[in-house]
Amino acid sequence: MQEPSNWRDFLASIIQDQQERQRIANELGVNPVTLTRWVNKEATPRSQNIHRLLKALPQHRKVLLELLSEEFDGFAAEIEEALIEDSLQEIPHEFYVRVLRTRTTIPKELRFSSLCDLILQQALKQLDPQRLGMAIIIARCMPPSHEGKIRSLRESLGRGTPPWGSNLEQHAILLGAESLAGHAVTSGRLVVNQNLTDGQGISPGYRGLWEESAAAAPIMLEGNVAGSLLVSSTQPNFFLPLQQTLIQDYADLIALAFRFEEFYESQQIELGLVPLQEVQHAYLSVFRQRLTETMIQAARKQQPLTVIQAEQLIWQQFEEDLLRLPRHVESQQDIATNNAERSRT
Amino acid sequence: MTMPVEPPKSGNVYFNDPESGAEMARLLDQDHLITNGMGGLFPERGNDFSGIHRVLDAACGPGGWAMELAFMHPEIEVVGFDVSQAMIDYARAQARVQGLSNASFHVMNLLKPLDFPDNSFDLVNVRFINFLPATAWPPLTQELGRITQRGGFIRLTESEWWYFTTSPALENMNALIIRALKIQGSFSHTGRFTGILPVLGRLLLDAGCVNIKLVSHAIDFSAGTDAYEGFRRDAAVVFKLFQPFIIRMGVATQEELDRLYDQMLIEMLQQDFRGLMLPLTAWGEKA
Repeated sequence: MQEPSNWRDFLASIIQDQQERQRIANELGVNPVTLTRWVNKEATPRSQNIHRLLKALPQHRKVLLELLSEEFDGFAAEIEEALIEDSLQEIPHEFYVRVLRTRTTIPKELRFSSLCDLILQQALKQLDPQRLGMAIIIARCMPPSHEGKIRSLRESLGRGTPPWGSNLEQHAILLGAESLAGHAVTSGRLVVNQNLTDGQGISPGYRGLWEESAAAAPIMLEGNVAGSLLVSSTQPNFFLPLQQTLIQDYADLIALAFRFEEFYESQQIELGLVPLQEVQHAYLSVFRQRLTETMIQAARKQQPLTVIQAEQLIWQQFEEDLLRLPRHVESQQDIATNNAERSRT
Repeated sequence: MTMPVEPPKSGNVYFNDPESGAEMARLLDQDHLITNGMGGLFPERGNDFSGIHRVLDAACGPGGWAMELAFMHPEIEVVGFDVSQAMIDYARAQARVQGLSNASFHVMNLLKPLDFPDNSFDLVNVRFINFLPATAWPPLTQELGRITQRGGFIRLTESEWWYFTTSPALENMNALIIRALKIQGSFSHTGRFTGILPVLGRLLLDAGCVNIKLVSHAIDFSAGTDAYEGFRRDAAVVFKLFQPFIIRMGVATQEELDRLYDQMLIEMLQQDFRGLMLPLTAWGEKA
């Protein structure tokens, strides 16, 4: 398609498809003829309809925003206001009540997973009400190494809207100093990469699949840190000040799911560099097998482990292996050898 | 929906704490998993909502199915109700942050006459309330018939408790819950099944429906499938939260449950774990 010179030409190219024209008209609640009148400059949409048009065409949101801004002065600010109207600016108080109530009654085995699940579901709905595509992940500090240092974070629970899956735990990896989540933990403040495509972000972090922008907020208590809340969007420049505030608010809420001893002083945080995602996935392919083997062996030795304890143990073994590797180089043979050695021990 | 622990005469009592966000989060997860697994919101009709303007989701819990419908079809007015004030407060807050102005939620008890006029809805949806005592079903479906428009639909979806798997511990946990439900008064004569599935069609017939169809669905949540992680978590939550109910009904001790629960978690982690949910939808047209 030829580069559109203005939003009307752009819309004209989209509504050439009669079905799409009808769909957009339906979503806006206008007659299809109205769309044609906008295209022909016979009419100009009201701000409410511009807003609806952006919602109806999420895949073209970025281009449309730029083109609309050229015709309408102050449009970006107006849209930001409209977006604020769309979702609440604060976490609803009913939700705080629910989290606090849950925390007081939940069986301890479910405390972390259920509280985090509850909060992530709410965060996802509030931060991505139009389901433009978002992933939210809790990255928690791994237990201290032998030297008492925190060397990496582990993605422990994740939720997403398409194109991401709804459950992201099965793709969990370790994150280190190279990641945005790690940067939030090290710096103790919210960090944002508004455009991961151009690679010009001031914060560290690499671009994951579908990810156009990302933000991470530290999960803290009394100045100590337990991990970070990482939010990725399919939209560039998604994280407006409103969203940033909400993300930090949700990170503060998630702190309630952690035990006091899981928060670490800043002097303890010394994140290393962990290998790329693909290398980690090759390692982690044997995770569940190792987990069940570990639990069975522990039971045989009359020292049974819970699933949570066994998971922690295996993640620590992986962390040890992965931090020893060069970040970019790892052969399948090395991975297989390391996994085999671990299985024997 | 949130689950009463005792026969209806005792009113608003639950298996577990109705204020618990753990159960709300679980139900929302479950809604999502099962709706996806079944192929959509109304797969028996090809997810076709034409001619449907007002929909009720009865016993909606935290409102997962209702909110999904409201999001997908902004032109449809969606109403949900549940007996738990906490669930409804939560559903309202969730709808508000998503800007779902076409969804509303009310506190109502499905064991009592429903506070809706006759012929109020084009579609009434009810899912997974097989914990209800058998005696509660006929008056309930009569009520659903009363509030459904002529030519509208009633849709009941149930599944045998809690699905079929290769985990012996999970099978034993299932058996304990089914026995507890039997004590509470399920359709089963033996306590081996909940017994709801064979009677769904009959309930619709008695509620005044015609053109009744039964459609079964299969959701594979074996290790390695997309649904696996969600169902594994669902099992971890549901079989923990329901333990007080099982103990109260006198079918197992806490020690027995703790042992079975830990074993179930391990068995569900096995590479060769296989699991299948087979929901059955009965739907009919109000004559």
